[in-house]
Amino acid sequence: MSFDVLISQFLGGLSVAMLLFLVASGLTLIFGVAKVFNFAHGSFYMLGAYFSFQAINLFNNFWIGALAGAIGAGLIGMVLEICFIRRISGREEEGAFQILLTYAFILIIDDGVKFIWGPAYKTISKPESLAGALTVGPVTIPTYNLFIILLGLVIVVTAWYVLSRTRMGKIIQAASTDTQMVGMLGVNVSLVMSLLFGVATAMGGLAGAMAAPLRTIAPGTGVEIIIDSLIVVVIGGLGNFWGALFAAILIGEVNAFGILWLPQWASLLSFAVMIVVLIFKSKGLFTREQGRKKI
Amino acid sequence: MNHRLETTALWSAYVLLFGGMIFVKNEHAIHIAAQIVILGLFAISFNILFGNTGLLSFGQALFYGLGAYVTGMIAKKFGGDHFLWALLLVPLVAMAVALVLGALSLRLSDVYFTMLTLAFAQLVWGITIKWYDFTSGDDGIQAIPKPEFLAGGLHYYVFAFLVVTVCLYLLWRLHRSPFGTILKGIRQNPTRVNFLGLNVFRHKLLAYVISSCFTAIAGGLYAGLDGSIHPDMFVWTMSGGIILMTILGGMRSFFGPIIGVAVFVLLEDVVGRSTQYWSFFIGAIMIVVVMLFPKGIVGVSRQFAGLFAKKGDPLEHS
Amino acid sequence: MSILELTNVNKHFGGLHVSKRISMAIPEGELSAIIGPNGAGKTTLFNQVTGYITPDSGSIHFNGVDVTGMKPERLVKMGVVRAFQVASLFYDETVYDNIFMAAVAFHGKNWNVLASKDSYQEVDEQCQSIMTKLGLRNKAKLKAFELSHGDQKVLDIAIALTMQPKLLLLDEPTAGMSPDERVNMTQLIKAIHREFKLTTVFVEHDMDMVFGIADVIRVLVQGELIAEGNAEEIQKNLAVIDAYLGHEVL
Repeated sequence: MSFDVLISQFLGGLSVAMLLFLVASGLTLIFGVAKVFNFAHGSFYMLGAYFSFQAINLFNNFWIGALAGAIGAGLIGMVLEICFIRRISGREEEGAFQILLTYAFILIIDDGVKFIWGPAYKTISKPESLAGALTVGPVTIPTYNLFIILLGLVIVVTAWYVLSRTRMGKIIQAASTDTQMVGMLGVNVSLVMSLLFGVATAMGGLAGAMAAPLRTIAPGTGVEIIIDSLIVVVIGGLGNFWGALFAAILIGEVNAFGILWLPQWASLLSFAVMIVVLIFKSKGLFTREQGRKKI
Repeated sequence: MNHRLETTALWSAYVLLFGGMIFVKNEHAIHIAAQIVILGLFAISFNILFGNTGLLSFGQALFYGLGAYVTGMIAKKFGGDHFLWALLLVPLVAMAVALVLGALSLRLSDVYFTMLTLAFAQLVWGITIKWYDFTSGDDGIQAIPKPEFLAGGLHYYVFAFLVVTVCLYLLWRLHRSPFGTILKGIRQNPTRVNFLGLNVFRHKLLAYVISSCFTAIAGGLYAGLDGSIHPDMFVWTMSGGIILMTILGGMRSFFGPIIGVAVFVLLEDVVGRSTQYWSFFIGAIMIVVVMLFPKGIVGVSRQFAGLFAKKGDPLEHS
Repeated sequence: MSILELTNVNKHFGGLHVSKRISMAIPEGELSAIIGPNGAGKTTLFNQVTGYITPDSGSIHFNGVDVTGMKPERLVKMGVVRAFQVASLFYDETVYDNIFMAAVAFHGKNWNVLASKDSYQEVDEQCQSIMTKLGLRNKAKLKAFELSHGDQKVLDIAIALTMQPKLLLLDEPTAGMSPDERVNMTQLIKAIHREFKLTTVFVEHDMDMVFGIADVIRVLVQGELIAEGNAEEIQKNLAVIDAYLGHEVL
């Protein structure tokens, strides 16, 4: 196999990885950091794509579409948090109920989308400014993919900075584990959680809008992406953005090269990777092992 | 309501209702009843893990599919006379698989356990679809033969009902056995169980193996119902559906899950036929249950019963 | 012969040296207390003796057997049993079922998947006897979460006693109790010690109780065992007065 093929396969895998990371980053925030299991995260990704499709139809501008995707998904996310998710917090078996509730969101959003936009798939095209391709030596990469890779890097650096270097980040980190303590400090914890949910779903929506030109927009796409995103978040170690980035690249590349060497089994590789990782590192790759709980 | 009274009432209701189905002449009703007892066995055995032990597996469909494929593939290859021993083989295969997968996944805590069980099930689903030569892939297996005496809806229903009843009886014994009590202890306070001198992991493993074994039997029974099975029996939405039905019925009660299954299957039969937005409908029901009736149908009934029996012994609200 | 012997036990949590070269020998049948200011490493010491955590160095012998690093489940089977600072119960179960689980574990019936719960007479008898001895009999059908704080602590000890320990470790048996409950608990511990002829070690902050019933008192300060002796000796010990009792109203 020639070197060129390997390089272009690698770059292809990287773009897939970055798209995956865009979705998984929102999930890392809400599931990893805030400890809310949002099974419907992929559905917000799908909603983002549909909103951007709708906005592009109206305004004929890709960037307005992206904005609409993010804001629309974020707003719906916040409403759902306030109306439902918030009200079951603190319950016994909260985790199971969160899974169930957000699973219900998946079903409702899927059918809602079908009802509004119909079952047929939609497409949008790349913005003209990014429609070209960049050629370096023997390798060509579409400008849009480069842009996605850059966007992923911007997100991981921003998230890392906000979470570990700002006061806001400390509050966010503590809000889910030391809820009472943070409340005592005069922080409105439920407002923080709603905003967090909104930001996370907006990130999902943005990812959907960004992925739309490369993939199709159709009902059910949210369900496909959520499992892969969960894999990424879990492999990376819950709540760790760099870990999620690494895991996304791992999954992206394993898939890209898997198609070359094991074409028939490529779609199973993500699961195989997760199984291997969890068997050897029971809390993902980048989680610090915590001491035993106090008794 | 008194606990013993409730148990007796639910057992009688089960036997009368599903046993009585054999006098019903309606083929469709019998088919629905067969679906309910088979999925009911799946849900109740799943609840040994979930409601009793506190282990949320998102991959029990693996064992449901496994049971169906072991039965289906053997019967298809060797003929209908081999259906029964294939069904007898199912628990053994399932227990062996569960022993390995359980040993790997039960070391993980909470969500990691959930994700690993999901991954195993998805992997097997993928393999079943891709390994066409062995499993017929996405086509599934159709026209699975059965022995002569099980042919016909009613005969097969009687058979399924008897098998399920025996299984439920065994699971019920487990539910109230010393082992079952320890499982409840593990859900509530594993550290304390450890300080009773018990190995928590081994108890979880046995619970996992037993639960998976009965789930596989349910799968095997399903293979004979319509004689048609599909890789989607392995897929995560199957596991998710069972979790939903279990909570809908009530995860803190032995019979809760099968009540959830019955309600769900009947609703699907009635509503599913008249709308193409069935998922939307299910989603709405799930939200109502989660928000307003988290203890499920059994929990709500207990509250009602408690309301009427208010003057009784205030201590008796198990 | 001493039933429990610690030799140079060391434990670090990160940079914190929580057990410093602790050596002690506890003779069989002794009722003793471990006292010390908050953060002295008393619970950590219990956690090492009961196998919840392993010492970094040093050794622990129980009845002459080296049990260093042994798992809790094995130590319990050997007779090292504890109760907890925060009552560690099965809160959704009845008082009876809480004790029942311990009795099932003790009699090794925990693997029986088919027997009915009430098919073992000896298990039931043991539950009844423990409930009677600890005054829980009329609360048998209450769920653990419905009990008063004091009764929850009693139930915690009842579970431990059901395991028929040879060495009983009680972590702050009166923590968070009302004065009345404290008096009851003090009497209960004394009675248990007498009735079961049981080597008992308790960690406590209530000095009336400690000096009232303990044969031997051991003082732990910042992970170090600084004094050991009967009530009188401890009260006169300058190191103890300096490090601990200096700002305690007795």
